[in-house]
Amino acid sequence: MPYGYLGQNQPNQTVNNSGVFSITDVAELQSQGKLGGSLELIESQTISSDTAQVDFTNIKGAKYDVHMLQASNIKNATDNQQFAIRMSVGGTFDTDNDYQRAIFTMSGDGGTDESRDTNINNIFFTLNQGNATNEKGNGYAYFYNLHNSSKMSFVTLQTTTINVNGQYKMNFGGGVYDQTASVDGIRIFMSNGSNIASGVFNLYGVKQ
Amino acid sequence: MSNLRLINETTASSVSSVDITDVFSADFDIYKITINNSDITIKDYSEVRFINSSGSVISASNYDIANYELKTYTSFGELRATNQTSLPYMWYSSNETASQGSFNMWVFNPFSSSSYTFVLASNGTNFITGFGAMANKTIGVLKNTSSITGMQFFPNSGSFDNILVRTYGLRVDS
Amino acid sequence: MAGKLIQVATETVTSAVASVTLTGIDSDDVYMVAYNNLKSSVDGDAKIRVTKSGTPDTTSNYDRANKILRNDTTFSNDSGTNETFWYLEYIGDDVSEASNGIMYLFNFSNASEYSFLTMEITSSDNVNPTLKGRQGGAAHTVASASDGIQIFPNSGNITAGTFTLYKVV
Repeated sequence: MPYGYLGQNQPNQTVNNSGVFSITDVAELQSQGKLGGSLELIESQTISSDTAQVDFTNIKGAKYDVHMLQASNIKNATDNQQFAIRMSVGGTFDTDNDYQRAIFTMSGDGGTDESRDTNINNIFFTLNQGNATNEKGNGYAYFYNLHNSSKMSFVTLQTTTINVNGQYKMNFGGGVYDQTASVDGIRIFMSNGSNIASGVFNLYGVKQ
Repeated sequence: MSNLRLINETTASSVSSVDITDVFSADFDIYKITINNSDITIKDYSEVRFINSSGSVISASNYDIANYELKTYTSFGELRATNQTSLPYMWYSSNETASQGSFNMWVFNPFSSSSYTFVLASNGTNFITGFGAMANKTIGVLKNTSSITGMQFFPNSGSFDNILVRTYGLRVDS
Repeated sequence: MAGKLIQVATETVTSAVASVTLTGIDSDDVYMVAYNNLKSSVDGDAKIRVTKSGTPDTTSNYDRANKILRNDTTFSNDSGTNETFWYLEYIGDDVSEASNGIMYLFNFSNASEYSFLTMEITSSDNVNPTLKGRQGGAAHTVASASDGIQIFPNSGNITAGTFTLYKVV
Protein backbone atom coordinates (compact mmCIF):
# COMPACT_ATOMS: atom_id res chain seq x y z
CA MET A 1 0.00 0.00 0.00
CA PRO A 2 1.33 3.47 -0.79
CA TYR A 3 2.84 5.35 2.13
CA GLY A 4 3.40 9.07 2.41
CA TYR A 5 4.62 10.89 -0.64
CA LEU A 6 7.68 11.15 -2.78
CA GLY A 7 9.69 14.07 -1.58
CA GLN A 8 12.57 14.03 -3.97
CA ASN A 9 13.31 16.88 -6.30
CA GLN A 10 10.45 19.06 -5.17
CA PRO A 11 11.18 22.79 -5.65
CA ASN A 12 10.38 23.75 -2.09
CA GLN A 13 11.76 20.64 -0.48
CA THR A 14 14.06 21.67 2.32
CA VAL A 15 14.44 18.32 4.01
CA ASN A 16 15.42 15.11 2.31
CA ASN A 17 12.59 12.70 2.36
CA SER A 18 12.47 9.23 0.90
CA GLY A 19 8.69 9.22 0.97
CA VAL A 20 8.45 6.62 3.71
CA PHE A 21 7.06 7.27 7.16
CA SER A 22 9.38 6.43 10.02
CA ILE A 23 8.02 4.88 13.19
CA THR A 24 8.26 8.29 14.78
CA ASP A 25 6.35 9.87 11.88
CA VAL A 26 3.56 7.32 12.27
CA ALA A 27 3.31 7.83 16.01
CA GLU A 28 3.21 11.60 15.65
CA LEU A 29 0.60 11.55 12.90
CA GLN A 30 -1.53 9.09 14.83
CA SER A 31 -1.40 11.27 17.92
CA GLN A 32 -2.67 14.16 15.80
CA GLY A 33 -5.41 11.98 14.36
CA LYS A 34 -4.02 12.45 10.88
CA LEU A 35 -3.11 8.86 10.20
CA GLY A 36 -5.52 6.01 10.16
CA GLY A 37 -9.08 5.50 9.22
CA SER A 38 -11.80 7.80 8.03
CA LEU A 39 -13.87 5.90 10.56
CA GLU A 40 -12.94 6.24 14.21
CA LEU A 41 -14.24 3.56 16.52
CA ILE A 42 -15.52 5.59 19.45
CA GLU A 43 -16.82 2.73 21.58
CA SER A 44 -17.78 -0.91 21.33
CA GLN A 45 -20.25 -2.62 23.65
CA THR A 46 -20.90 -6.36 23.81
CA ILE A 47 -24.01 -7.59 25.56
CA SER A 48 -24.11 -11.18 26.76
CA SER A 49 -26.90 -11.14 29.35
CA ASP A 50 -30.23 -9.37 29.65
CA THR A 51 -29.89 -5.63 29.85
CA ALA A 52 -32.40 -2.81 29.56
CA GLN A 53 -30.39 -0.61 27.21
CA VAL A 54 -27.08 0.09 25.55
CA ASP A 55 -26.00 3.68 26.07
CA PHE A 56 -23.27 5.57 24.29
CA THR A 57 -22.67 8.67 26.38
CA ASN A 58 -19.30 9.85 25.20
CA ILE A 59 -20.04 10.26 21.52
CA LYS A 60 -17.42 12.95 20.77
CA GLY A 61 -20.06 15.14 19.23
CA ALA A 62 -17.78 18.16 19.08
CA LYS A 63 -15.40 16.18 16.90
CA TYR A 64 -17.85 14.46 14.55
CA ASP A 65 -20.93 15.71 12.80
CA VAL A 66 -21.62 12.28 11.30
CA HIS A 67 -21.74 9.10 13.41
CA MET A 68 -22.33 5.50 12.42
CA LEU A 69 -23.71 2.74 14.61
CA GLN A 70 -23.17 -0.89 13.60
CA ALA A 71 -25.07 -3.66 15.33
CA SER A 72 -24.27 -7.33 14.89
CA ASN A 73 -26.02 -10.47 16.06
CA ILE A 74 -28.46 -8.57 18.28
CA LYS A 75 -31.13 -10.51 20.10
CA ASN A 76 -34.20 -9.42 22.02
CA ALA A 77 -35.11 -11.21 25.24
CA THR A 78 -38.84 -11.11 24.41
CA ASP A 79 -40.28 -12.29 21.11
CA ASN A 80 -41.71 -9.99 18.44
CA GLN A 81 -40.14 -6.74 19.53
CA GLN A 82 -38.48 -3.66 18.12
CA PHE A 83 -34.94 -2.51 18.78
CA ALA A 84 -35.21 1.26 19.02
CA ILE A 85 -33.13 4.41 19.33
CA ARG A 86 -33.36 7.40 21.63
CA MET A 87 -31.13 10.43 22.16
CA SER A 88 -29.99 12.35 25.18
CA VAL A 89 -29.63 16.04 25.81
CA GLY A 90 -27.70 17.26 28.82
CA GLY A 91 -27.15 13.66 29.83
CA THR A 92 -30.88 12.85 30.01
CA PHE A 93 -32.44 10.55 27.46
CA ASP A 94 -35.54 12.08 25.92
CA THR A 95 -38.54 9.80 26.42
CA ASP A 96 -41.10 12.28 25.12
CA ASN A 97 -42.83 12.07 21.72
CA ASP A 98 -40.06 14.07 20.09
CA TYR A 99 -39.20 11.57 17.37
CA GLN A 100 -40.49 10.69 13.91
CA ARG A 101 -39.79 7.70 11.71
CA ALA A 102 -40.39 6.41 8.17
CA ILE A 103 -39.25 2.84 7.59
CA PHE A 104 -40.02 0.45 4.75
CA THR A 105 -40.12 -3.18 5.85
CA MET A 106 -40.31 -6.30 3.75
CA SER A 107 -40.20 -10.01 4.51
CA GLY A 108 -39.00 -12.96 2.52
CA ASP A 109 -42.58 -14.10 2.08
CA GLY A 110 -43.38 -10.81 0.34
CA GLY A 111 -45.11 -9.01 3.16
CA THR A 112 -44.43 -5.26 3.22
CA ASP A 113 -45.24 -2.37 5.49
CA GLU A 114 -44.67 1.35 5.67
CA SER A 115 -43.91 1.99 9.32
CA ARG A 116 -44.26 5.69 10.00
CA ASP A 117 -45.11 8.03 12.81
CA THR A 118 -44.83 11.77 13.35
CA ASN A 119 -45.15 11.81 17.12
CA ILE A 120 -43.46 8.98 18.94
CA ASN A 121 -40.90 8.44 21.70
CA ASN A 122 -38.27 6.51 19.73
CA ILE A 123 -37.04 5.55 16.26
CA PHE A 124 -37.31 1.85 15.38
CA PHE A 125 -34.09 0.12 14.35
CA THR A 126 -35.55 -3.35 13.74
CA LEU A 127 -39.19 -4.40 13.64
CA ASN A 128 -41.00 -7.52 14.81
CA GLN A 129 -37.76 -9.29 15.50
CA GLY A 130 -38.01 -12.87 16.72
CA ASN A 131 -35.99 -14.28 19.59
CA ALA A 132 -35.81 -17.98 18.82
CA THR A 133 -32.48 -19.59 18.05
CA ASN A 134 -30.87 -17.81 15.05
CA GLU A 135 -33.54 -15.11 15.01
CA LYS A 136 -31.11 -12.21 15.16
CA GLY A 137 -30.76 -8.67 13.87
CA ASN A 138 -27.93 -6.77 12.20
CA GLY A 139 -27.51 -3.42 10.56
CA TYR A 140 -26.35 0.13 10.70
CA ALA A 141 -27.55 3.65 11.30
CA TYR A 142 -26.02 6.98 10.38
CA PHE A 143 -26.60 9.96 12.64
CA TYR A 144 -26.26 13.57 11.48
CA ASN A 145 -25.95 16.86 13.32
CA LEU A 146 -26.08 15.36 16.81
CA HIS A 147 -23.93 18.00 18.44
CA ASN A 148 -25.43 20.97 16.59
CA SER A 149 -27.85 22.77 18.92
CA SER A 150 -29.31 24.75 16.00
CA LYS A 151 -30.44 21.68 14.11
CA MET A 152 -32.58 18.63 14.57
CA SER A 153 -30.75 15.29 14.63
CA PHE A 154 -31.36 12.95 11.71
CA VAL A 155 -30.97 9.21 11.27
CA THR A 156 -30.86 6.86 8.30
CA LEU A 157 -30.83 3.12 8.86
CA GLN A 158 -30.84 -0.27 7.20
CA THR A 159 -31.22 -3.59 9.00
CA THR A 160 -31.39 -7.27 8.12
CA THR A 161 -33.16 -9.65 10.51
CA ILE A 162 -35.28 -12.72 11.15
CA ASN A 163 -38.78 -11.86 12.32
CA VAL A 164 -41.18 -13.39 14.83
CA ASN A 165 -42.46 -15.85 12.20
CA GLY A 166 -38.97 -17.09 11.39
CA GLN A 167 -39.09 -15.18 8.11
CA TYR A 168 -36.27 -13.08 6.72
CA LYS A 169 -37.08 -9.38 7.12
CA MET A 170 -35.28 -6.24 6.03
CA ASN A 171 -35.90 -2.64 7.03
CA PHE A 172 -34.62 0.66 5.68
CA GLY A 173 -35.51 4.29 6.16
CA GLY A 174 -34.91 7.07 8.56
CA GLY A 175 -36.05 9.21 11.39
CA VAL A 176 -35.56 12.48 13.17
CA TYR A 177 -35.25 13.73 16.72
CA ASP A 178 -37.24 16.87 16.06
CA GLN A 179 -35.74 19.01 18.81
CA THR A 180 -33.12 21.66 18.14
CA ALA A 181 -30.70 20.58 20.80
CA SER A 182 -27.18 19.32 21.22
CA VAL A 183 -27.45 15.56 21.51
CA ASP A 184 -24.79 13.98 23.71
CA GLY A 185 -25.86 10.34 23.83
CA ILE A 186 -27.41 7.50 21.88
CA ARG A 187 -29.47 4.75 23.47
CA ILE A 188 -30.43 1.42 21.93
CA PHE A 189 -33.24 -0.35 23.76
CA MET A 190 -36.36 -2.44 23.23
CA SER A 191 -39.30 -0.18 22.47
CA ASN A 192 -41.67 -2.01 24.80
CA GLY A 193 -39.27 -1.87 27.72
CA SER A 194 -38.20 -5.51 27.63
CA ASN A 195 -34.54 -6.49 27.63
CA ILE A 196 -31.78 -6.79 25.10
CA ALA A 197 -30.42 -10.33 25.43
CA SER A 198 -27.19 -10.09 23.47
CA GLY A 199 -25.31 -8.41 20.65
CA VAL A 200 -22.40 -6.23 19.64
CA PHE A 201 -22.84 -2.49 19.17
CA ASN A 202 -20.06 -0.33 17.69
CA LEU A 203 -20.24 3.45 17.45
CA TYR A 204 -17.97 5.20 14.93
CA GLY A 205 -17.27 8.80 14.11
CA VAL A 206 -16.89 9.60 10.41
CA LYS A 207 -13.69 11.54 10.16
CA GLN A 208 -13.70 15.22 9.35
CA MET B 1 -4.20 3.01 6.94
CA SER B 2 -7.88 2.76 6.13
CA ASN B 3 -9.06 2.19 2.63
CA LEU B 4 -11.65 4.98 3.01
CA ARG B 5 -9.65 8.17 2.57
CA LEU B 6 -10.75 11.78 2.91
CA ILE B 7 -9.82 13.56 -0.29
CA ASN B 8 -11.49 16.92 -0.09
CA GLU B 9 -13.60 19.10 2.16
CA THR B 10 -15.33 22.11 0.63
CA THR B 11 -17.31 24.73 2.50
CA ALA B 12 -19.31 27.45 0.81
CA SER B 13 -21.68 30.20 1.90
CA SER B 14 -24.31 32.25 0.07
CA VAL B 15 -23.86 30.47 -3.25
CA SER B 16 -26.27 29.44 -5.97
CA SER B 17 -24.13 26.38 -6.64
CA VAL B 18 -20.96 24.80 -5.38
CA ASP B 19 -18.45 23.07 -7.60
CA ILE B 20 -16.26 20.33 -6.18
CA THR B 21 -13.49 20.05 -8.76
CA ASP B 22 -10.61 17.68 -9.33
CA VAL B 23 -11.67 15.13 -6.76
CA PHE B 24 -12.23 12.12 -9.02
CA SER B 25 -9.14 10.48 -10.51
CA ALA B 26 -7.63 7.19 -11.53
CA ASP B 27 -6.75 6.59 -7.89
CA PHE B 28 -10.27 5.40 -7.03
CA ASP B 29 -13.26 3.84 -8.74
CA ILE B 30 -15.69 4.39 -5.88
CA TYR B 31 -16.21 7.54 -3.84
CA LYS B 32 -18.30 8.48 -0.87
CA ILE B 33 -19.75 11.97 -0.59
CA THR B 34 -21.30 13.40 2.55
CA ILE B 35 -23.07 16.72 2.79
CA ASN B 36 -23.75 18.19 6.18
CA ASN B 37 -24.69 21.58 7.51
CA SER B 38 -26.45 22.54 4.31
CA ASP B 39 -28.85 25.44 4.74
CA ILE B 40 -30.98 26.58 1.84
CA THR B 41 -32.88 29.82 1.18
CA ILE B 42 -35.99 28.36 -0.46
CA LYS B 43 -37.75 25.13 0.39
CA ASP B 44 -36.95 22.86 -2.55
CA TYR B 45 -34.96 19.93 -3.89
CA SER B 46 -31.23 20.08 -4.45
CA GLU B 47 -29.62 18.58 -7.51
CA VAL B 48 -26.31 17.25 -8.80
CA ARG B 49 -24.42 17.59 -12.06
CA PHE B 50 -21.04 16.18 -12.90
CA ILE B 51 -17.99 18.03 -14.18
CA ASN B 52 -15.89 16.49 -16.92
CA SER B 53 -12.12 16.41 -17.21
CA SER B 54 -12.21 19.60 -19.28
CA GLY B 55 -13.79 21.39 -16.37
CA SER B 56 -17.21 21.70 -17.98
CA VAL B 57 -20.39 21.06 -16.08
CA ILE B 58 -22.37 18.37 -17.92
CA SER B 59 -25.90 19.63 -18.48
CA ALA B 60 -26.89 17.46 -21.43
CA SER B 61 -30.09 15.44 -21.07
CA ASN B 62 -28.37 12.26 -20.01
CA TYR B 63 -29.28 11.89 -16.35
CA ASP B 64 -31.77 9.32 -15.02
CA ILE B 65 -32.97 9.01 -11.44
CA ALA B 66 -35.24 6.92 -9.22
CA ASN B 67 -36.00 8.16 -5.72
CA TYR B 68 -38.01 6.44 -3.00
CA GLU B 69 -39.43 8.97 -0.57
CA LEU B 70 -40.10 7.64 2.91
CA LYS B 71 -42.32 10.15 4.67
CA THR B 72 -43.26 10.10 8.31
CA TYR B 73 -46.59 11.86 7.64
CA THR B 74 -48.08 10.13 4.62
CA SER B 75 -47.73 7.22 2.20
CA PHE B 76 -44.27 6.66 0.79
CA GLY B 77 -43.76 8.00 -2.71
CA GLU B 78 -41.78 7.37 -5.86
CA LEU B 79 -40.03 9.89 -8.04
CA ARG B 80 -38.67 8.89 -11.43
CA ALA B 81 -37.10 10.90 -14.21
CA THR B 82 -35.35 10.07 -17.46
CA ASN B 83 -33.07 12.12 -19.71
CA GLN B 84 -32.78 15.05 -17.35
CA THR B 85 -30.18 17.81 -17.46
CA SER B 86 -29.15 16.99 -13.91
CA LEU B 87 -29.86 14.47 -11.17
CA PRO B 88 -32.92 16.09 -9.61
CA TYR B 89 -34.57 15.26 -6.28
CA MET B 90 -31.30 14.32 -4.56
CA TRP B 91 -32.47 15.80 -1.29
CA TYR B 92 -35.26 18.06 -0.14
CA SER B 93 -34.79 20.85 2.36
CA SER B 94 -36.92 23.33 4.17
CA ASN B 95 -35.45 26.79 4.42
CA GLU B 96 -35.21 26.65 8.18
CA THR B 97 -31.82 26.00 9.65
CA ALA B 98 -33.11 23.66 12.30
CA SER B 99 -34.81 21.26 9.92
CA GLN B 100 -32.22 20.67 7.26
CA GLY B 101 -30.61 17.29 7.39
CA SER B 102 -27.86 15.66 5.49
CA PHE B 103 -26.96 13.64 2.43
CA ASN B 104 -24.79 10.60 1.79
CA MET B 105 -23.91 9.37 -1.69
CA TRP B 106 -21.68 6.74 -3.29
CA VAL B 107 -20.36 7.55 -6.77
CA PHE B 108 -19.16 4.73 -9.03
CA ASN B 109 -16.82 4.85 -12.04
CA PRO B 110 -16.68 8.65 -12.45
CA PHE B 111 -13.19 8.91 -13.88
CA SER B 112 -13.61 6.02 -16.32
CA SER B 113 -13.98 7.05 -19.96
CA SER B 114 -15.61 3.75 -20.86
CA SER B 115 -18.31 3.51 -18.20
CA TYR B 116 -21.36 5.42 -17.15
CA THR B 117 -21.20 7.18 -13.78
CA PHE B 118 -23.64 5.79 -11.23
CA VAL B 119 -24.81 7.10 -7.86
CA LEU B 120 -26.40 5.52 -4.82
CA ALA B 121 -27.71 7.91 -2.21
CA SER B 122 -29.36 7.97 1.16
CA ASN B 123 -30.77 11.26 2.21
CA GLY B 124 -30.12 11.80 5.87
CA THR B 125 -33.72 12.81 6.28
CA ASN B 126 -35.05 16.33 6.18
CA PHE B 127 -37.89 17.94 8.02
CA ILE B 128 -40.64 19.82 6.26
CA THR B 129 -42.36 22.23 8.61
CA GLY B 130 -46.08 21.60 8.82
CA PHE B 131 -45.71 18.06 7.59
CA GLY B 132 -42.94 15.94 9.05
CA ALA B 133 -39.71 14.28 8.06
CA MET B 134 -38.67 12.48 4.92
CA ALA B 135 -35.87 10.02 4.21
CA ASN B 136 -34.87 8.98 0.70
CA LYS B 137 -33.25 6.10 -1.10
CA THR B 138 -32.03 7.24 -4.51
CA ILE B 139 -30.22 5.76 -7.47
CA GLY B 140 -29.03 7.65 -10.51
CA VAL B 141 -26.88 7.49 -13.59
CA LEU B 142 -25.17 9.79 -16.07
CA LYS B 143 -25.55 7.99 -19.39
CA ASN B 144 -22.33 9.32 -20.77
CA THR B 145 -18.86 7.82 -20.79
CA SER B 146 -17.08 11.13 -20.26
CA SER B 147 -14.30 11.09 -17.73
CA ILE B 148 -15.71 12.87 -14.70
CA THR B 149 -13.43 14.72 -12.30
CA GLY B 150 -15.87 16.66 -10.15
CA MET B 151 -19.45 17.50 -9.31
CA GLN B 152 -21.75 20.47 -8.85
CA PHE B 153 -24.47 20.79 -6.27
CA PHE B 154 -27.22 23.37 -6.62
CA PRO B 155 -30.74 23.94 -5.32
CA ASN B 156 -33.59 23.85 -7.79
CA SER B 157 -34.46 27.34 -6.58
CA GLY B 158 -32.81 29.79 -4.25
CA SER B 159 -29.29 29.27 -3.00
CA PHE B 160 -27.27 27.61 -0.27
CA ASP B 161 -26.76 29.70 2.84
CA ASN B 162 -24.14 27.17 3.86
CA ILE B 163 -22.95 23.84 2.58
CA LEU B 164 -20.19 21.46 3.63
CA VAL B 165 -19.19 18.69 1.23
CA ARG B 166 -16.71 15.95 2.03
CA THR B 167 -15.35 13.54 -0.58
CA TYR B 168 -13.76 10.22 0.35
CA GLY B 169 -12.10 7.70 -1.94
CA LEU B 170 -12.49 3.95 -1.42
CA ARG B 171 -9.07 2.55 -2.07
CA VAL B 172 -8.46 -0.83 -3.74
CA ASP B 173 -4.93 -2.14 -3.35
CA SER B 174 -4.01 -4.56 -6.07
CA MET C 1 -8.95 4.41 18.67
CA ALA C 2 -8.80 4.25 14.87
CA GLY C 3 -11.50 2.55 12.87
CA LYS C 4 -10.74 1.40 9.39
CA LEU C 5 -11.83 -0.38 6.32
CA ILE C 6 -9.15 -3.01 5.83
CA GLN C 7 -8.95 -4.71 2.46
CA VAL C 8 -9.24 -8.48 2.72
CA ALA C 9 -9.58 -9.57 -0.91
CA THR C 10 -9.99 -8.04 -4.32
CA GLU C 11 -10.41 -9.14 -7.92
CA THR C 12 -10.49 -7.07 -11.07
CA VAL C 13 -11.83 -8.86 -14.12
CA THR C 14 -9.96 -8.05 -17.31
CA SER C 15 -10.88 -11.16 -19.31
CA ALA C 16 -13.94 -13.36 -19.11
CA VAL C 17 -14.34 -15.50 -16.02
CA ALA C 18 -17.12 -17.81 -14.92
CA SER C 19 -17.39 -16.21 -11.50
CA VAL C 20 -15.70 -14.01 -8.93
CA THR C 21 -15.06 -15.30 -5.42
CA LEU C 22 -13.99 -13.17 -2.48
CA THR C 23 -12.98 -15.05 0.65
CA GLY C 24 -11.09 -14.32 3.83
CA ILE C 25 -13.87 -13.66 6.33
CA ASP C 26 -12.49 -15.08 9.54
CA SER C 27 -13.70 -12.87 12.39
CA ASP C 28 -16.90 -11.57 13.94
CA ASP C 29 -16.31 -8.11 12.50
CA VAL C 30 -18.70 -6.57 10.03
CA TYR C 31 -17.44 -6.82 6.45
CA MET C 32 -18.21 -4.70 3.42
CA VAL C 33 -18.23 -5.61 -0.26
CA ALA C 34 -17.90 -2.83 -2.80
CA TYR C 35 -18.08 -3.56 -6.50
CA ASN C 36 -18.29 -1.52 -9.66
CA ASN C 37 -18.75 -1.94 -13.40
CA LEU C 38 -19.95 -5.55 -13.26
CA LYS C 39 -20.69 -6.79 -16.79
CA SER C 40 -21.43 -10.15 -18.35
CA SER C 41 -21.13 -11.71 -21.81
CA VAL C 42 -24.80 -12.71 -21.88
CA ASP C 43 -27.72 -10.56 -20.77
CA GLY C 44 -29.16 -11.93 -17.59
CA ASP C 45 -29.23 -11.79 -13.80
CA ALA C 46 -26.07 -11.70 -11.75
CA LYS C 47 -26.36 -13.81 -8.63
CA ILE C 48 -24.60 -14.31 -5.30
CA ARG C 49 -23.88 -17.24 -3.08
CA VAL C 50 -22.03 -17.57 0.20
CA THR C 51 -18.92 -19.68 0.34
CA LYS C 52 -18.12 -22.29 2.96
CA SER C 53 -14.39 -22.98 3.14
CA GLY C 54 -14.08 -21.32 -0.22
CA THR C 55 -16.76 -23.39 -1.94
CA PRO C 56 -20.08 -21.84 -3.01
CA ASP C 57 -23.02 -23.21 -1.07
CA THR C 58 -25.69 -24.33 -3.55
CA THR C 59 -28.28 -25.55 -1.05
CA SER C 60 -31.82 -24.11 -0.92
CA ASN C 61 -31.34 -21.78 2.01
CA TYR C 62 -31.23 -18.31 0.52
CA ASP C 63 -33.92 -15.82 1.58
CA ARG C 64 -34.19 -12.22 0.35
CA ALA C 65 -36.36 -9.10 0.44
CA ASN C 66 -35.67 -6.07 -1.74
CA LYS C 67 -37.32 -2.91 -3.00
CA ILE C 68 -36.33 -2.42 -6.62
CA LEU C 69 -36.06 1.23 -7.63
CA ARG C 70 -36.27 1.97 -11.34
CA ASN C 71 -36.68 4.99 -13.58
CA ASP C 72 -39.14 3.56 -16.10
CA THR C 73 -42.09 2.36 -14.07
CA THR C 74 -43.49 1.74 -10.61
CA PHE C 75 -40.98 0.38 -8.13
CA SER C 76 -41.35 -3.30 -7.40
CA ASN C 77 -40.87 -5.59 -4.45
CA ASP C 78 -38.84 -8.75 -4.81
CA SER C 79 -38.66 -11.51 -2.24
CA GLY C 80 -37.92 -15.18 -1.99
CA THR C 81 -37.28 -17.98 0.47
CA ASN C 82 -35.36 -21.24 0.34
CA GLU C 83 -33.75 -20.54 -3.01
CA THR C 84 -30.29 -21.55 -4.19
CA PHE C 85 -28.89 -18.03 -4.61
CA TRP C 86 -29.61 -14.33 -4.09
CA TYR C 87 -30.19 -11.97 -7.00
CA LEU C 88 -27.77 -9.10 -7.57
CA GLU C 89 -28.97 -7.31 -10.71
CA TYR C 90 -29.65 -7.75 -14.44
CA ILE C 91 -26.48 -7.15 -16.45
CA GLY C 92 -24.95 -7.51 -19.93
CA ASP C 93 -21.96 -6.22 -21.84
CA ASP C 94 -23.34 -3.18 -23.60
CA VAL C 95 -21.81 0.15 -22.59
CA SER C 96 -25.13 0.98 -20.94
CA GLU C 97 -25.16 -2.22 -18.92
CA ALA C 98 -23.30 -2.29 -15.64
CA SER C 99 -23.95 -2.93 -11.98
CA ASN C 100 -22.41 -1.30 -8.91
CA GLY C 101 -23.11 -1.67 -5.25
CA ILE C 102 -22.32 -1.80 -1.58
CA MET C 103 -23.13 -4.75 0.68
CA TYR C 104 -22.49 -5.21 4.38
CA LEU C 105 -22.00 -8.73 5.68
CA PHE C 106 -22.90 -9.75 9.23
CA ASN C 107 -22.23 -12.90 11.27
CA PHE C 108 -20.58 -14.66 8.34
CA SER C 109 -17.83 -16.27 10.40
CA ASN C 110 -20.15 -17.32 13.23
CA ALA C 111 -20.68 -21.07 13.00
CA SER C 112 -23.77 -20.85 15.22
CA GLU C 113 -25.61 -18.15 13.30
CA TYR C 114 -27.12 -17.39 9.91
CA SER C 115 -25.16 -15.20 7.49
CA PHE C 116 -26.87 -11.86 6.82
CA LEU C 117 -26.28 -9.03 4.40
CA THR C 118 -27.65 -5.63 3.44
CA MET C 119 -27.65 -4.65 -0.19
CA GLU C 120 -27.68 -1.29 -2.01
CA ILE C 121 -27.33 -1.55 -5.77
CA THR C 122 -27.35 0.91 -8.68
CA SER C 123 -27.35 -0.56 -12.19
CA SER C 124 -28.59 -0.11 -15.69
CA ASP C 125 -29.52 -2.48 -18.48
CA ASN C 126 -29.87 -1.86 -22.19
CA VAL C 127 -33.66 -1.84 -22.26
CA ASN C 128 -34.06 1.88 -23.10
CA PRO C 129 -31.69 1.73 -21.06
CA THR C 130 -33.28 1.31 -17.68
CA LEU C 131 -31.84 2.44 -14.39
CA LYS C 132 -32.52 -0.13 -11.69
CA GLY C 133 -31.29 -0.97 -8.22
CA ARG C 134 -32.39 -3.24 -5.43
CA GLN C 135 -32.31 -2.00 -1.86
CA GLY C 136 -32.75 -4.41 0.98
CA GLY C 137 -31.08 -7.52 2.25
CA ALA C 138 -30.83 -11.24 2.54
CA ALA C 139 -29.95 -14.14 4.77
CA HIS C 140 -28.47 -17.59 4.30
CA THR C 141 -30.57 -19.51 6.79
CA VAL C 142 -28.04 -22.12 7.83
CA ALA C 143 -26.23 -21.86 11.13
CA SER C 144 -22.72 -22.34 9.84
CA ALA C 145 -19.68 -20.22 9.11
CA SER C 146 -19.36 -18.55 5.73
CA ASP C 147 -15.98 -17.25 4.63
CA GLY C 148 -16.93 -15.21 1.60
CA ILE C 149 -19.19 -14.69 -1.39
CA GLN C 150 -19.29 -15.77 -5.01
CA ILE C 151 -20.77 -13.59 -7.74
CA PHE C 152 -21.74 -15.32 -10.96
CA PRO C 153 -23.91 -14.67 -14.02
CA ASN C 154 -27.03 -16.61 -14.91
CA SER C 155 -25.25 -17.68 -18.10
CA GLY C 156 -22.08 -16.78 -19.91
CA ASN C 157 -19.18 -15.12 -18.13
CA ILE C 158 -18.36 -12.05 -16.13
CA THR C 159 -16.45 -9.77 -18.50
CA ALA C 160 -15.63 -6.76 -16.31
CA GLY C 161 -15.75 -5.40 -12.81
CA THR C 162 -13.75 -4.77 -9.68
CA PHE C 163 -14.84 -6.50 -6.53
CA THR C 164 -13.36 -5.84 -3.09
CA LEU C 165 -13.99 -7.26 0.37
CA TYR C 166 -13.16 -5.08 3.37
CA LYS C 167 -13.25 -5.69 7.09
CA VAL C 168 -14.68 -2.92 9.25
CA VAL C 169 -12.68 -2.66 12.47
